[in-house]
Amino acid sequence: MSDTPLTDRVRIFEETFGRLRRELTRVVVGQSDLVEHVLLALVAGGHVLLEGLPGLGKTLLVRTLSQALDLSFSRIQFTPDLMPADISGTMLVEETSEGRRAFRFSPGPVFANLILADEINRATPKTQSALLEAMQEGRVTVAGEARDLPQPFLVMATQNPIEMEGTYPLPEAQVDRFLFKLRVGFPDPEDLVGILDQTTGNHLPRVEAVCDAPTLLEMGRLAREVVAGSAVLAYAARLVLATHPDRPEAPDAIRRYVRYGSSPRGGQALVRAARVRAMVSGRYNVAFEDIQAVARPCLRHRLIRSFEGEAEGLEPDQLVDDVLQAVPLEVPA
Amino acid sequence: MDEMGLLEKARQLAARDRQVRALHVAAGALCPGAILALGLVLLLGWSGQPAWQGLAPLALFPAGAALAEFLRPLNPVRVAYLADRNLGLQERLGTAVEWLVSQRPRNVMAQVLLRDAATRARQVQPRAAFPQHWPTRFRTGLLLAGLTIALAGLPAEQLSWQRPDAEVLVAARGQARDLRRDLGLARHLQAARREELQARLEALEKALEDPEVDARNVLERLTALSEDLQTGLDVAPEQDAAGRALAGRGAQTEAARRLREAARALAQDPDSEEARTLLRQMAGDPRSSEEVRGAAADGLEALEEGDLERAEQALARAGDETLGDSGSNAPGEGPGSAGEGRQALANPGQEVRPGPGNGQADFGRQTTLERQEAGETEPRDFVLDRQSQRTADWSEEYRRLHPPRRDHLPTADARAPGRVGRGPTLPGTGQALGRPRVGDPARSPTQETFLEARESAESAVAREDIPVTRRDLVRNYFEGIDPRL
Repeated sequence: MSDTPLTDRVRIFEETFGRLRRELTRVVVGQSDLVEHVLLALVAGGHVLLEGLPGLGKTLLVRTLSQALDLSFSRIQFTPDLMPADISGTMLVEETSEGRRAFRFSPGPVFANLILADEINRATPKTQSALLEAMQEGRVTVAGEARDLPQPFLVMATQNPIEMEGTYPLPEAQVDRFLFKLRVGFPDPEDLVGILDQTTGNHLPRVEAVCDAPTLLEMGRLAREVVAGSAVLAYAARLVLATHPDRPEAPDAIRRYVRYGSSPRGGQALVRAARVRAMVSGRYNVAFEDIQAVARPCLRHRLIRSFEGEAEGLEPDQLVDDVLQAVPLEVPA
Repeated sequence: MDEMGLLEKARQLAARDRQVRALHVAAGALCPGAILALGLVLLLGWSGQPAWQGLAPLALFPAGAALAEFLRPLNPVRVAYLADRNLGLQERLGTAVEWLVSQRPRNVMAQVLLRDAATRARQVQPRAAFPQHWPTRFRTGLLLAGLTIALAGLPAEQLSWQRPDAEVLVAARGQARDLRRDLGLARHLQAARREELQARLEALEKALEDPEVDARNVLERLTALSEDLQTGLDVAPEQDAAGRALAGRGAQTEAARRLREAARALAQDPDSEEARTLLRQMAGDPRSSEEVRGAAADGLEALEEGDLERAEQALARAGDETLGDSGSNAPGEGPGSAGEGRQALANPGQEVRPGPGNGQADFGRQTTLERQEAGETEPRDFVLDRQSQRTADWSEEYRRLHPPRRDHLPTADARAPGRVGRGPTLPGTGQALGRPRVGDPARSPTQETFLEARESAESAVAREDIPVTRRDLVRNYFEGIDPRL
């Protein structure tokens, strides 16, 4: 596919993205922004943390995505007694045809293109950390042997924000590995009517697989070629720096309510997602508005609030908005 | 459009941006420039200097700001980004121009971007990308600039804190006085013209009493009036001679006054500074004759040397010269002689008596005093003003120096000869000693009356309906019947 002309590649990108969006929205009623961001993260090769109340369609969204993609899909229900080996796999003792016994690796559910880590905050930190290597490096090490995960490898994790008893909040290091943290909001009345109508009858919409792994990888490569000007990159950097309370460009809210700001990985996430968004928008360059559009899902889980911020119940999105307002759009001098 | 076309478009955009920014900063600089100019205009005007010189910041500030903006180097990348923002091109032009300028490695996507940007740049109009806009304080700057220019256009006196100099006021009053005198002497002017000039003079005299009126302006108008009067004299040369003669006699009158004052001061105090000042004024007065000035200079020199006797002789000589210039005594009082004038001046503290005289002074129909007594309040000519004022001064001084009781002392008679006739009676005579009756002996000292008598005679000649060309004949006739001759 890399040998085809760029215009054809762009056309294929736009068509594939559009078809994926259509398939998802056929099943997931409403939540268009959520669908858009999930697809952006998918093409950008980033993991997504979905946060929302039970019953809002988080699992449905990921399952539908797996159906629309011609990819291997695994669903892991995280529970307190889930062990790391239950995720990564384990070595089994098997008797060979010669009558001898040998170890055989039995891959865990993590060996799939698309992983649904359902209610990830219910597992113990030890089990949660089993995903760290897989998410960051795309491989797992079992019994001293590193095994590559299939590409693309995408983790879609969900968590319930209100049930805190018996849960283990994700450590910051693990949260930082998610490209996006998406909030699944309650549907509008019209969307709710559509959900009721669609999910209580006999005719459930069928989802067709419209994208395979090579196509998805090619889309990712194409998006990474999108040109980002120095002014846009500098803007993304200033946004990240402005989330740190000890920086002079930080707004007052950040100084007061934030303990730690975003890591450089937050900046990477901004630009990666912005490139995909520019490609989806039919542009060959990243614009300021692309950075702004993905700032919330990229930065909201990377701001560690101070005690005062948590006591005030300040939403991270509010802080990100303050940062967006405080950082001006500057052009090269 | 190729890549060079894109770059050329970026340069066009940069030029337009520079123009817009230059005008913008110039408009922005107008306000502080106007504030500074306003201050300078007020300061210069307040100090009496030309206020328009303070307008310089009004032009220098905007020009300097615009020049500084023009001198800034063009940055096509920056301008392309700005054009993107203004046109909603989502950083297409900026990113593409940046790629062009920075010579970054061009992947396939960058090449497509350049083509796309070049296509879009073709439709970009620099004026649309950078519309001219003005700063919010531009209107304030315009208002201030207008106010400043208006203030700078005002006359300097309106802004100056300095009130008209006292010297200007004194000079204006002096000129008004001279004008009134000259106007009184210039009797050959036509009545309409004379009334017009007199009305103008009175208006200016009234204006001088008003503290709100600019004395410099009045002085200029008085000068113009003087020129008008002079023009009238030039137009009528045959009348000019008479006017000038009268003016000369006025000067002689002034010299005689100074002479009397000097003699009196010298009699009271041999070291009188007043006498010196008067003699100095006489010596420097160009209107006096050469002889009078010389005698005054001699007297001044003698006083400086402490030679009182020589000073008195000089004063007496000056008095003789003054009398000789004037040539006659007052009508009705009879002519005096040069020796009488010398005696009067040389002995100001002694009683003087008029000599025998029988002159008649009856060539006036009605004297100014009689008109005054008749209740007429219209402005009179120079003769009336000067006579009434000077006579009053002199009478008071005369009574102090020569009380009536001294009339019976056996002193030399320095009075004008003759008897009081039926003609006009000089006001000074009447005020000093009571109005004389017809046939009484003359009682006024000669030196007091001869100039007034001459002027009264001139006034009488001027009042009569005598053709101008015949007035000399009439004057010569009366001079010819002067008993002194």
